[in-house]
Parts: sequence; C-alpha cells; structure tokens
Amino acid sequence: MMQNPFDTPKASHFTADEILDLYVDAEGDNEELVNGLLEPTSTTPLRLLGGKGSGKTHLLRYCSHSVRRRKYKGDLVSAIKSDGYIGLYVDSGALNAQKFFGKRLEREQWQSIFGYYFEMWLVHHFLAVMKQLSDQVDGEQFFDTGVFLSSVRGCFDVDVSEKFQNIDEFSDYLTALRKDVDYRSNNAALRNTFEDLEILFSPGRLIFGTAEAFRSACPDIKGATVCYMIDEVENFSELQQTFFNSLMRFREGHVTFKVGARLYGILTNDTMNEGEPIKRGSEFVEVHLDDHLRDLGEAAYRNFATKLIAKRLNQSGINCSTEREQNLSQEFESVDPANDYAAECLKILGSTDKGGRERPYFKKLRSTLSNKTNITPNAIDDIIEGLKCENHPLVEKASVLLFFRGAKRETNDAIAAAQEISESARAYTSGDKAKGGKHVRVLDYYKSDLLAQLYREARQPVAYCGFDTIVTLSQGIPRNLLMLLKHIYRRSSFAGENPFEGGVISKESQTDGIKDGAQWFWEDAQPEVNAASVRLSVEAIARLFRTVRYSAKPSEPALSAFSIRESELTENARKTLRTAENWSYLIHIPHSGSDKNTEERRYKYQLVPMLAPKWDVSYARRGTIELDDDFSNALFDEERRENLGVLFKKRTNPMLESGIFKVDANQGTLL
Amino acid sequence: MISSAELAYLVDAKQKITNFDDLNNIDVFISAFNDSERVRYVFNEVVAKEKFWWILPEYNYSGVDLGVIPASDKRVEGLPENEAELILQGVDSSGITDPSNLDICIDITGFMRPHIFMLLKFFETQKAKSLTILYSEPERYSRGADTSFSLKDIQDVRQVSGYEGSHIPDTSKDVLLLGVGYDHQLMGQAIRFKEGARLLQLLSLPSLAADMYQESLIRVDRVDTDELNPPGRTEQFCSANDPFLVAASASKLYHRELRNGGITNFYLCPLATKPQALGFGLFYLRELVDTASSVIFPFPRRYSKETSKGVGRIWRYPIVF
Repeated sequence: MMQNPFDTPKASHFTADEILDLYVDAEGDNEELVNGLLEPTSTTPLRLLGGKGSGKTHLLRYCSHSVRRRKYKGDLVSAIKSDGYIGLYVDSGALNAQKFFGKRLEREQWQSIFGYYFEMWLVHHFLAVMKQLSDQVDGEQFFDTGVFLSSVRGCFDVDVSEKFQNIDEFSDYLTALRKDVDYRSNNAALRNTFEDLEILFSPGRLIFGTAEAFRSACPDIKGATVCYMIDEVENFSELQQTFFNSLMRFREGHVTFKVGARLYGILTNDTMNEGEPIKRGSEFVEVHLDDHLRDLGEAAYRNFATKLIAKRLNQSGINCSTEREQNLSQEFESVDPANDYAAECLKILGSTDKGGRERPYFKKLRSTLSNKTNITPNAIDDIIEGLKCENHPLVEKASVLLFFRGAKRETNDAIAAAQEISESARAYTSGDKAKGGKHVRVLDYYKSDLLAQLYREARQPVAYCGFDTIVTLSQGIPRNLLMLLKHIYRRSSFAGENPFEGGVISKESQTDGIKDGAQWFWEDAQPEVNAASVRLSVEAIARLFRTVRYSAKPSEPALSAFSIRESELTENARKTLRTAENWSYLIHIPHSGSDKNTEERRYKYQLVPMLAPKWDVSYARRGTIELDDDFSNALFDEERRENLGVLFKKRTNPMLESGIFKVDANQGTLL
Repeated sequence: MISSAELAYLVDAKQKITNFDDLNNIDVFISAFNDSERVRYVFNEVVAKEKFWWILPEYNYSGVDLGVIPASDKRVEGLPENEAELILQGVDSSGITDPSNLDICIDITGFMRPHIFMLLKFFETQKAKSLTILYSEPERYSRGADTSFSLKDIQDVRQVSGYEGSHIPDTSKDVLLLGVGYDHQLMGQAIRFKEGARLLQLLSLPSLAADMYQESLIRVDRVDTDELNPPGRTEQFCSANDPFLVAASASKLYHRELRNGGITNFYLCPLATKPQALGFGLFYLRELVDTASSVIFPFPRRYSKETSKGVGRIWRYPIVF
C-alpha cells in the first residue's frame, strides 16, 4: 500500500528541503504572503499569532537561511542578496527555558541570567550563518574576519581578546559560556552556584553588536536585515518574555524580530525592570494568521487548499497536473443537492420504503399526535396522508416541521392546518414558489438540518462529504485540512477505493475520515490549565446545538454559533471562554449585534467547524442562538454548572415533541 | 552480546525481599505516605534507627486524613512542591546532616518520579555511605486499564531539577525516549512537548503482573495515534521492575541512536513504573551528565492517593555510585 500522502502534517518534522518543496503561498505564486505579511526585510518587529496548525512554523522556517539557501541552489550569498535579509529560525522549545526558574533565586536574578543565556543562544544561530558564508566565499575579500572579530570583542564588558581568534573559536567561546550557565542551573537546586557568575556583556549588546560587526565586515551584503524568527514563544514565562519585549523596544540597526506564538502565547507586553509596556502599532505589529487566512475569502482559500493538496500528491509520486488540480473535487463523492437532495433522501429511505414501512418522521408524528393531542386517530391518518409527497422526502419533512410549528391540538384545527401545508407542498413541488412560499422559506433555511435529521431517523451516519465540505471544515487552518485528508485517505484505502489513483473517495470513507479528524482535533487541543472544565463547556454547547438541530421544531437553522452578553459573565466563565477561544475550540466572530432589549453589545462565538462532525451538528456559519445570562454562566462557569440541566431543558423543551403540545395547566393554553 | 557498559549496570542487581530482617543496619528509613496497603506494610516491617513518613503535597492530605498515622510514627510535613526544594527540606527535617556517615533506605513506592530523580542526585552528590532503594509491586492496579494516577490538569511539562543538561540550538536530530506507562494523558503531553523529536518507546515487558502489559497497550492506544506512531519510531521492551536492566536498555538505545545518524538533543521521560524512573536516573547520572540531555516530565497538579490493591513482591535495589 502506498504511503499516505498526507502523513507528517507538522512543519516541525520537515527537513529544510521538505519545507521548501511543500510550501504553498496562500496569496499567490510569488511569495506574496511572505513579503506582505511577514515582511522579513522590514525592521519593525512582528508578532505572528495563530492556532495550532495555522502554518506559523512553516512560514517562519520557509524564511530561514537554510531553506532560502536551498531555493538558490545552495548559494547563500545570492539568497541573502536577492531576499534582502538573513533569516535565523530559532525554536524556543530547544532552549528548555523552564529551568530558569525557582531554585531559590530571585526574579531579577533569573531575568539577568536568562537574558544573558538567551542572547548567546540567538547569536549562536547567527554565527552558524557566518560560518556558512565564510565557507562559501573562502579566499575572497567578501567577509573580513578580522574586522568582524575586532568589532565583536567590543561588545563585551571585559577584555576577551585572548579568548577567540576566529569565528569557530568565538562560537566555541559562547558555547562554553552557555554551558557554564547550564552547569550552574543544573546544580542550583542543591547549592548556591550562581553567586560568582559574571555577566560579560550588557543586555542587547551582543545581539545588536554582532549584527553591526557583520555589516562592517561584509560590505557586499551589509544592507541585509538580520531577521531573528523566534518560534513557539509560548514556551517562555512572563518574566522571560519581558526580556525580548525589551529587545524589541531597544532594537538597533538592521536587526529585527519576528515572533511566532499560539493565540494564548503572549503573556505580557511589559519590558525588563518594570519599564513601560511595548506598544502595538508603534513598536511592533501583530498579525493573527488564522484570521488572515480566513479573511482571504472562500475562493482564495479554496485555491490555496487545492494547491496544498496537489503539492502533497506530487511529492508522494501521484501526478497532479494543473488540470487535475482544477478538477480535484470530482475525486470526492458528494451528495447530489438537486431537488432538495431527493436522490439521497430516497436512498436513505430505501429499505423503509421497500419494506412497506411508514417513513420514520411520519411514524414519530403519528406517535406524538396520538399521545400529546386530542386529534382522533382517523384524523391523524388523514393528516399524514395529506402531508405525503413521496418523491420529495425533504418536502415531507418540511411539512412536518410546519405542522409542529402550528401545534394544533384539536382535530378540526389540525386538519385545516395540514390542508394548508399540503397545498403549499404541492405548489412548491410543481414549481410555484409563490404559492409554495411556506416550503420555500423552511427549505431555504433548514434544508441541511432536515437532511441530517433524516439520516438519524433512518439510523444512518450523518454524511459529511464533498471537497467543499472538507475545505470549509478546515476553517483556514492548513494542518486541519491535511489531517482530514490523512484520515480520509486512510479510510478510503482500507475500503479499497484507490484514492487519488483512479478511484473516487466514497461518501462513507469521507464521513468516517472526517469523524476521525474531528476526534483527533478534540484530543489534540488540550489546554494545560482548566482543561476538563473547558471541554465540559464546549461539549455542553455542542449538545445544545445538537438538541436544537434534531428537535421537531428547531428554533434556529444550521445552528453553529451562540451569542452572549460578556459583561454579565462571571470571572470563571470569562476565563473558560477565553481558554476555549485560545485553544481554537471556539471562534470569536467580530462585529456581533446588540441585545434586542438592552441594546448592549453581544459577543458571538462559533463552534470550530472541525468539531461539528463529532456531534453531528452544522459547520456552516449560519444560525446563532442567543443565550441569556444565567444559561451562559451555567455553561461556562464550573461553579454554576449545577443549574445547567434545568436551564438546558427549559430552553430546549419547547422544540421537542414532548414540549410542543404542552399545555399550561391553569390556562389551558399551549406553553 | 552484552556490552561492557551494560554489564556495568547489571553488576548491581535487584534482590527480592522475603524477610525484612535481611535489611539490617539502616540508620534512616524514608517513605512517602499514601493510602496504598503496600506502602504502609513496608513502613511497618522495616527496622531502622529512624523512620520518617514524608507527607507529599501532591496527595493533598488534610489533617483529618493523616489521623490514621500512628502518633509514634515521625512525619515530615509542609513540604514544598518543587522537587528539589522538597528533597532538601525533607532531608533537613529528617535530621540527615551528613549522609556520608549514614546507611539510608528509601521506599520509592509512594514518591513521585521527579522526587526519585532528585533523591538519587542528592545522595550521589552528598556521597551517602550506602543507599538502598525499596519498591513494592501492587497485586494489581485498582481499576485495571482504567486506573487513573494523576488527577485533573497538567500543571507543567518541564525538565526535572538537576537533570537539565546542556542543550544545543540544533534540533534536527532530537530524540525522546519515552517510558510507556498507564497514564495516556501524561504520555500525550510529553510527546507534544517535544513534538519535533524522534520517538523511542520503552515498553514494560515483562510487566509487573501478567495483564499489565496489555493494559498499558490499551492506554497507549488512547494517546493520539499520530503522535505515538510518528514515522521512524522505535520500540524496545524492558522489565518493569528492574532499574538496572532499564538503565542498561536505555544506554543501549542511546548508543544505537548515536551510531545510526546521531543525536542533537536527548530527552528522557519515564512514565511507567517507579523502578523505570530509577533506572533512567541511574543511566543519566552515569552517562549523560553535562551532555545535551535532560529528563522531562509532565507534572500533574494532584495524584491519586491510592491506585493499587494488595501487596505484591518487594524489591531491594542497592545503589552504588
């Protein structure tokens, strides 16, 4: 069996060649995203934030010197001259910065030690490039080592003239200094090892001084920006982040910083020694990569997704020409939407119809009317007969929904209502949209919900399929797209469908693969703090959406979002919501509306589409349910959760068969 | 064929305790209190000049909970959460001023893995006269494959104090040696923490009891398969209750990786038995100090006070530095 073309979707696992080969620019074929978003030549520092799998690491590594060098066939000098920058990719995780904490040292001590260590760590990367440059142009007067070293020695506050005579020795010297700090840190728990540590240069001196020394020593590419791309900054503590906030503020010359972090990764804007916080806009720029990709627009993102897939296929030896790329969607079976999914619905009801059994939604209607109303059995027969529209099951379901909306308990009223609905259905199916207006409206809004209900009623898995569905589910996150395809490929291969090698990927394989992907997403996103509570809240929201979707009288169509008054949330609820957003369980939708009664602003959140298949809910951004304050707090505050069950029932009961015909005992009217 | 390096570990062999009288001349005995029958049994049976219960913060015992400890038993309470500070304070409160003159015996059964590492390092640095480690196996875990060891959230994934090494910026050939255990949440966290590293898995077989290997596989399966089964992973098996074999196996794996393309940074994460953690510690102190190697661990906020039933075999591990 061929290897899965979508394996290894994490950029951290790629070699430099793979980073280069698999890179797809979301905005064009000429590195528009690189130059427009990251701007490596610009000296303005940048924070690049994004959820897991949004492509931060791939983008940053794509700009690193090791990858750029490959792009220019091994010629690093040409790469730097052409690009205008030297990209230095730094993986923060490798620093294992957690060790710079505790061990009976004070905060200020650690701040100095960490800064000292971190600067040497960063400069190590720069020296690696220096070494490659001098190796490449050995013998020429391209890089004056003497000038460089002389200038670099001036960065130190002590005399280091005897310590190193060439770049290798300088690198070894810095390594020795770092190892000394490592040794002290390792043993600090048991004894006082930092007492006599000497910090040999002032903060910032080494990093900016080295870059300046390079400019003096290498006139040929002196104009190049030295771009430190520090990834996974969420690995640093708040105190450690103050250090490189200070580096960003006191940035000198042609050095800049592009910092990659998760959405929750930046803990502070403060600088060292309790200086003024750095200011977004004037001192640095902040970009949210997920939002940026989502804002590209459907067509542009679809195009990006197609190119991404094509790259993977080509890389794994499956030829995907430009023409094939344009028609990739045909390799995924989808549900035929014609005539309100008539063909699919008839297929779902196939065995029911063949067995001469009553269709499940009519069976449910019959049972509800028998048990909850005063309608006579004969009248129920007539009503159901009147609502039938055999070749258009979704029209039948729409009719049932309309009937439930009317909620007539008495025979004559019910018959009259059913007759009206029946007339509308007949008009609709014969093409008269004006007279069939009732059905036009219901099907326009609720079609996908009614189809999902039908799958469930027929005890079949709710289908998630079609290329466009897969693209939409990924919601602008490349890794989500690749993970979905990885699981779909796996299922399809197992089913013997020869995916991407002549076969069409069945609806069933796609549905199973997408559900596997949803489960992966759910398991993968694990906040370190408050995880259990956050997941319970998200699950409760999803169950609410599901209850509404599969109810007899759903209040909102294609429900995937909710709105709340944040001002009325408890502190705990706010924290839970924030964590859920930071970990991409929920997406905050900007420009939400106002509360109908109070005019107060309401905040809207969507359940991330990747999770929709886990609970068989809608992934399209359409319906929004407004949650009142009590319900919101019960959902998101652990301490208010005991009320959740009651509030949940109160909200959903009117939509269920059991609640639709409920009568107010005092007044004899429907509730 | 066993290499000389592996043989060096195997010279110190585990011994099964059938008679506690064999443990003689112990000056100080230390055990971490929890609700497990095996921990209390050993504490009662061991004869020593001084015996101490250490009350670990991870178990979150209240004063009422601790009422079960006989008044005659000495306790060390109010210990801090950081593993290094805990050991220093614990040792101090136990009156151990000069370990070089003392025969120390520690039951690691109730201790957390980071404590085991720190205890090892402390007594190595202080050159204890002798150090004997005891470990008692459970008869079985309280809920089989569903046994939960850590409760609620992970507080932190980080290096264990004293085992932080001297890492290098080049991460192209990083390796994570994971001791596979029961807690799939912890395993997932550890793997995600070093997601760029090549994964080596050390599985416990023979396990402590016949079905525990299968139970651990069930837990492994609950870790997201993409992370636990990345391309290029390697698995090796090693006994669950023999730290010396674990050290030898870990050493073997390490040197094999060095030969087959090299290692830039090396991480160990012991998530199986306490003897495995001890084995990783021995290996580290013997071969990895001052290299680009460290021990990492996902620190949960709280641990279950009792995870096992009954008392299985009791082992003695003489540690010679």
